[in-house]
Amino acid sequence: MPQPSYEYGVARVRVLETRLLTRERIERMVDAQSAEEALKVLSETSYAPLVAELGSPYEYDELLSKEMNRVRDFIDEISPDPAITDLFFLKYDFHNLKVLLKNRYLSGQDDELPLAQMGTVLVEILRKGVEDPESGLLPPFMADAIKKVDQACVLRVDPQKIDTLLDNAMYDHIFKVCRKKRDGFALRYFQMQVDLLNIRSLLRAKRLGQGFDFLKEMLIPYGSLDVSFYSRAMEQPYEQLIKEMESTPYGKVVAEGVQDFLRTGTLTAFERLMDDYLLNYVKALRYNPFGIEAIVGYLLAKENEIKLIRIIMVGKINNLPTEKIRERLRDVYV
Amino acid sequence: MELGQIFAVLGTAASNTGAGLSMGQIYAILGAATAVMLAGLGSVFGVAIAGQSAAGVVTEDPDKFGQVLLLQALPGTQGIYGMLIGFIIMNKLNIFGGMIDVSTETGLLLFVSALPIAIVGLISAIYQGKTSAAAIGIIAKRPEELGKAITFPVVVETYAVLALLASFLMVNGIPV
Repeated sequence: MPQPSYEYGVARVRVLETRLLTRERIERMVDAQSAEEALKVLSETSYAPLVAELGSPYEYDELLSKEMNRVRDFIDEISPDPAITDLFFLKYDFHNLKVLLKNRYLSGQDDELPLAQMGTVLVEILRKGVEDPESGLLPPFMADAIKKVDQACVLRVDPQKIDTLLDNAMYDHIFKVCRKKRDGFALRYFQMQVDLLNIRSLLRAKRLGQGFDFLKEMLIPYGSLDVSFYSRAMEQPYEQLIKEMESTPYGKVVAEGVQDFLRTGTLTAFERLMDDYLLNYVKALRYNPFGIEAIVGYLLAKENEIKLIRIIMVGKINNLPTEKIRERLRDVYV
Repeated sequence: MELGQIFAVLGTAASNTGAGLSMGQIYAILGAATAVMLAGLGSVFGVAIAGQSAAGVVTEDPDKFGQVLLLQALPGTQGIYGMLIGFIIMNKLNIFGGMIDVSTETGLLLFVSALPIAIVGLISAIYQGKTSAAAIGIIAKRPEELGKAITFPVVVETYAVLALLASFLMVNGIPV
């Protein structure tokens, strides 16, 4: 099929960007008295037809997955370079692979698995592929990853190991494609993602009181930070880590994230800062009218928006106080 | 030098077939053709680039058709300028009613006079198309800012107009 041009795709995204939820709309949803009222705000936006189909606010999840699937189809339709845009959907495939493989090796019950519909491979095909990696149903890099997990699980089943193997397989593929396509934008994006994920692993390992050997297993290659940085950071106090990161682009994320981590003991704030950081990177580049940036930017903005709506709806249905909900919200893209 | 040889061969070939064209006439017609071709090709690229952006906007928001069409049409002017210069040269040669003879020098002068609009037209139209595509992005988000959006590609137009002016003055000033 002939691919649409960057000019065409970016122009379509430009129009759709105007239909993203504004900060003001999000604020109104947060301030709503009830879940019904929050949905009413949503019905004034591009979500209107989907809201009309809903029976009750409790079915919001269905609305959001419909919207996400629409975005997936839209990106497929307009992407001038599907090899690159697909990379941004791989996380769903590998999430599904993790769930399916852990299910096979740990619990064994097959019903009601939390599988994502957004991946590059249909969930049913993924299921069959996991049963038989040799079937040729899956792309080779996924089949190889499954085989690796199977081999590793022969002796001892370690859920951490399954995660690590699959993460590494995913980033192997991502960086291979980025390099082959010489796409500096995507390469930098994933490199920063890997760095931040590795720092998250570092914090986790430190908290568990583990040594560098434990962390080394989890580190994903391809980041811009040296392995020696991580081994050093394992020995040093948190303050030293913050100081050392100050001069890097991740200074702010690490400083705020670590402080919150020390205060609350959770990585929620770090993860939020990490998402915001990556979103801001794309945001800054989205004005290029002849590149993939705006298209990826729209996808990330949409993912972010759906995350926001989910947080608000969950909060409203469970009658969480407004401040609590607001605290959990991320920056809005527009 | 090489180009001159090719034209010389063409010239002899032409006179051999009995058309009786002089070198001056060949140079002059080549000038007219170059102006029309290169500037026209530039416009083809330019409007195609801007047109794809325009199509993208109209897919999502058909109401913006008028505004984006205006922006798409901007890189089309170079082709018209090229045609204009080409036409003036043809007119000078009286091509439509028994061509008049011109000396080799005059023919070469006419050819060279066509170059500004041919080359500047080609390149400016492509870049203007890109600028228009970006400006169409402004219309997608803020349709009320058409005036500002149109300014950016119009700045590129300036240099196509200057090239047209240069070509026009030169062609006009060459006595035939």
